[in-house]
Amino acid sequence: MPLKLIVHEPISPLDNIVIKLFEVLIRELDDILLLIESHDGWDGSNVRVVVKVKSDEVVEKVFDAIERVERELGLPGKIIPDIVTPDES
Amino acid sequence: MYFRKFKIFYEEALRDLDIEAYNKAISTLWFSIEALLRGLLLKVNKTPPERAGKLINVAIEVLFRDIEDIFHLSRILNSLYYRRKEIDHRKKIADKADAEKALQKYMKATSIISKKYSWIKQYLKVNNSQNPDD
Repeated sequence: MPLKLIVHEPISPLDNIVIKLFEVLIRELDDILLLIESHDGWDGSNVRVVVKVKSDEVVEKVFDAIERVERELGLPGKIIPDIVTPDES
Repeated sequence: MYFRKFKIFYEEALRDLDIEAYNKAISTLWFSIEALLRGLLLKVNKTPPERAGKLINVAIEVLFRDIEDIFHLSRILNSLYYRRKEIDHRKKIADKADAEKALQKYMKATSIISKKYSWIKQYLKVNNSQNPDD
């Protein structure tokens, strides 16, 4: 699967968290995962996760991955996700 | 004031569940949690952020740093907010199962929070007819 990582300056500490989250999510969701990016959402969300389908199972896998990454990095509450499908992003 | 809102929203959410207003129940459960987090932050002289995402982030950082289940609490708060956003801002229409899952998460979140702030339990006491376990 072709993969493109785009870096936008300035780099923030959150970007490293996003990279870690990508590593976990690509294993869990495979090609259901379409995009992960850091962003500044209207509601304070800071990571946008775009998935092909947004079933309960997929959403729980995203929250599993976030919990795992926050545990690994010792940074609870750092990832505030906006989980969307392509038509919502 | 916010703790009173925390209780009122909780009671309203239970009534919403009773009358099968599942979308409203999910939103109201989040509003109850939101009021609780705002009240707790004000209690420690911190200004609560307006935006929900930032509110979760600051509440975890300021209020719950020292609790054992902090990572799980972070997940539950995010998950409850996600469900509310799906209902209020996206195409999702909730059914009974969705509302019951939201209530379970709400109860889990308040249970974890009450390990540190045990006095919040008094706000969750409702008449037997409104008890979610009935």
